[in-house]
Amino acid sequence: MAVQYGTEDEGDDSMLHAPSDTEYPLLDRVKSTYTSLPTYQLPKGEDRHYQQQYADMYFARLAQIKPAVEQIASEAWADFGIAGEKALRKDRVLDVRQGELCWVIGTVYMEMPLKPNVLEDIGKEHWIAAPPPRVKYDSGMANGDSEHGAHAGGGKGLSGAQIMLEDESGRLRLTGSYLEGGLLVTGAIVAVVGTENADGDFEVLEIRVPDLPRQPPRWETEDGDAAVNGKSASQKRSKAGKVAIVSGLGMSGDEGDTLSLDMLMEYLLGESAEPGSQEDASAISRLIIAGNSLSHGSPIPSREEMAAVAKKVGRKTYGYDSSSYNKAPTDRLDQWLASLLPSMPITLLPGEQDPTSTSLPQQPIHAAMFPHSRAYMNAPAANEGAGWFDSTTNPAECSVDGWRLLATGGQPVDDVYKYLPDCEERLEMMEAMLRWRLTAPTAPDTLWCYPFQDGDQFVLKECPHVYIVGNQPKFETVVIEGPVGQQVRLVAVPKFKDTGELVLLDCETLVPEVVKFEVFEEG
Amino acid sequence: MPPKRRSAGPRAVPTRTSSQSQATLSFNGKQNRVTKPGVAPQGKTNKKDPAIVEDVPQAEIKPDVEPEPDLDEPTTAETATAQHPNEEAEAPTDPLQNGASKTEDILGGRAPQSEAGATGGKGSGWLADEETLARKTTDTQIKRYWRAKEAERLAPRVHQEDLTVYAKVLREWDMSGQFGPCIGIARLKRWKRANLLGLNPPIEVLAVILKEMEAGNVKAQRAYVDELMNSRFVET
Repeated sequence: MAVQYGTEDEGDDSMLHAPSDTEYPLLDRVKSTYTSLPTYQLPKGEDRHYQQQYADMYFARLAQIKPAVEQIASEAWADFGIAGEKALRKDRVLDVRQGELCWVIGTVYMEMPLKPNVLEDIGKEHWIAAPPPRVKYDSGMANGDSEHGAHAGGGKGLSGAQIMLEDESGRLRLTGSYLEGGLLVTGAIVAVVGTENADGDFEVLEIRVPDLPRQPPRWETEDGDAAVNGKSASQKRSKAGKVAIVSGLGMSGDEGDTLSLDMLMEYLLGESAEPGSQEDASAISRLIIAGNSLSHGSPIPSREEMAAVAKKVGRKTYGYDSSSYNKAPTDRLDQWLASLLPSMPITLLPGEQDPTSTSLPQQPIHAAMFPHSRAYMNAPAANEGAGWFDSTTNPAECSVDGWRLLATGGQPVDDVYKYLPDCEERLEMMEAMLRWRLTAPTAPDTLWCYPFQDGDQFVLKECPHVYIVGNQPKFETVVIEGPVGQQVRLVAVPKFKDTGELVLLDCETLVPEVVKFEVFEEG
Repeated sequence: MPPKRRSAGPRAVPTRTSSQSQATLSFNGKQNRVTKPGVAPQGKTNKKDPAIVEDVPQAEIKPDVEPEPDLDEPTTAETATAQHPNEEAEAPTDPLQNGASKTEDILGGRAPQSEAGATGGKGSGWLADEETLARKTTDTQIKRYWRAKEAERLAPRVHQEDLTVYAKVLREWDMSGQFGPCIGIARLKRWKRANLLGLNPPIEVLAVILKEMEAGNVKAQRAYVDELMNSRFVET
């Protein structure tokens, strides 16, 4: 990729002369090593079964995470005692006895009054209009106690959230003032210590989570692959560049959203601005688009839309009305990608509004949607791994310049947000999700997902170095630490359509910075 | 698999009882069905195996109510889950000869895919040589295991008098909740999953499952409660 630039001392008149013979050095884009891991790819075609129940998934999740929690909890509570009584481990949640100090492990289940309930929906379908989508699932009646923290309502027996601990034997209701300070959602696996009180509820004194799993050192994936292929692992690695991350492009085909997108494209190609930022742009080695590239690509109509179509057409239509397909947004996205692809590799994650499966893990957007960009993709039959243009799953795990990246389009974090009353800290939720070792803890309760039978695919086996979540309200970042020295950089990427921000992550230091694109509005 | 289309049957084909001199072409119906090459092989059982076609309830229902779903043909749901034991059966096709080397073969050949089965990969589901161990388990060992299980209870088990020891062992396996839900999954697959998750399922149960599989007992592939819960009685 070649860009010409002049020296910085010259003013605006630097170009106003006859053609000269000076040689301008060319800028080349930094290369990046990239491996895409197939962690979230589902089997294709007939191998994908939907007959099984979600109970298998919860059971597998508990069985996979239990050993880790057990270890942490037994270390922490080895000498936990109150008034000389020591805490014993109980195998089953229902084995707790009144007055006995003990600790158990189970899955958290939160009973919240405003959670979507399919039986209520069916019962009410004929009578009233659908309720507006809830911002938070808590009933809000516990507003008076909001200063006490996240789960005040449940502890006091009000109609707030009820928190229970569940395993194969049954459910145990949890109470206690300790719960108010903590972050809990349905599906998290925790260990709790405490005792059963007279009401039959378990009073919690302390909670332990599985915490971060093992973090592979940098370059482990590439070295491992090289070892398997018989090559020597001690290659010289060149200095890594930066990774650009953007999300929420929101192309809709009719709104005036072209200018900021064009500016973004020119910036990434190095065609815009002055020589300083062109040099910065040449350091960008890869672009990751984290979801919601199209603004309304998913064709599942809501209840109101179906009613409107039925009224218009005169009969009820089921499923997708293909005459209403508008190809302009996907065309625009394809053209945009195809103009960037000759210069830089792109990883595309689908989001909530993209035309792929609605249940997690969302499968890659099919190559048929990109007639121009598909020239840069590898043929699906060939097992060469990801190509220059990687249309990948959501969530996606990949290895960029040796660092392990875990990226999602934002749906799991948005769903966790709905469970926590009075908590607006997205970074705290992202940290909690990593510490629970679950990329989507609320699946399958309130987040649609594939019914895994053999094992829960959302369990994190290895800790990433960077955790990227797209489509968040604003840009935030922090570094969290793990018990064995793991360090993870959390990055919340804002929606480009609303904020015009692009995040650049330096791959040597893992420090992000933001580039903002704004259009001046007259008046 | 594409969703199962109801076979149109003789109703949809226009039957010309008046002038039957001209031969008619029929593009649907039982005699023209072509099996697509992508369908998985059936293995030991055929489509109309007795576990799926409930002949006893059918005899009661047919005179009363015209069956809405085609009761003769299993739905895709049942065929898909019924194929679980077939898929599992295809792995250990070599029962007594060189069992150990075959599992080593499988394990050695699949080294790059480290996660086998339960955590998402495509392994054969065997961790070590459980299969050979199970096949070496003798009848007396199984009976001893069962006697130990019965001794755990104070009272004897009622309503199990006409079951064989094998059937009792398998029912106990179904009801052990610590290995996961027993509905919607074949017994062998459940055992393998429990093994991969490190829950130490008893090897005698695996022995019984494999023995029943070799004896061709299809009913024993899935849990008994699975059959009961999924029975397709049409409510009138």
